[in-house]
Amino acid sequence: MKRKVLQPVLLNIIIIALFGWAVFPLYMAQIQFAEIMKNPEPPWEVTFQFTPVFIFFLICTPIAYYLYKRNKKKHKGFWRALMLPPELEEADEREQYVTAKACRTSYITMYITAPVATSLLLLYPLVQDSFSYYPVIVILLIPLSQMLAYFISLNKNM
Amino acid sequence: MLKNRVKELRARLSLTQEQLAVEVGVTRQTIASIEKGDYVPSLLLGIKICTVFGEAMENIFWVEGEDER
Repeated sequence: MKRKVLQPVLLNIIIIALFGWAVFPLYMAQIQFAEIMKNPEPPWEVTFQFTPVFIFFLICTPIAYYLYKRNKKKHKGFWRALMLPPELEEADEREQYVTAKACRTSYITMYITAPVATSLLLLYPLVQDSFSYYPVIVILLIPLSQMLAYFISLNKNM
Repeated sequence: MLKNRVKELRARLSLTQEQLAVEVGVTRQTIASIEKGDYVPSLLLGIKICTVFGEAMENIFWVEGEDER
């Protein structure tokens, strides 16, 4: 049972971490583009590191496909399998109850992490030059903490 | 606390947890949780279990302890 719950959570954490890594070069390119917009006189150039994006698609495509196949067994129908998170356990009333409790825990976690993350963004002007992708990390910490809270609650009540 | 005789009655009918779970339309883990007293079943599930065992509700489920009132 623990593996059944842990596996999709771990895979989703890997996807989020790789997504964050893939967003860094896009974010850096956007910063360069913003500089160009301030002074559009040529010559200008935008450098973009493609490796993280490539690795993201390389690793996450099979993971997403695996989670979709797994989800299709659990939630009947294409759209349900595509849109519903694989962590939702809803096979019977007890699983629905446990999932509801875990969602409650996750919602409470959001209540705490959202203002904390917003407060952490106040530090951004101080670290902007040395740590320009700081907001990406802070924002991605919100779903990560929610997923962990969901998993801990589900694991405890399963 | 809700007590029950599900395990005893299941053994009497030589049913496995899996078989009872299929009969009442839940997972095996749910039957295990009910037997251990970790999960309080819904009224509908309780009635389904009573139907399988052919017993009245009060003969299978009863309240014991501080919640009894």
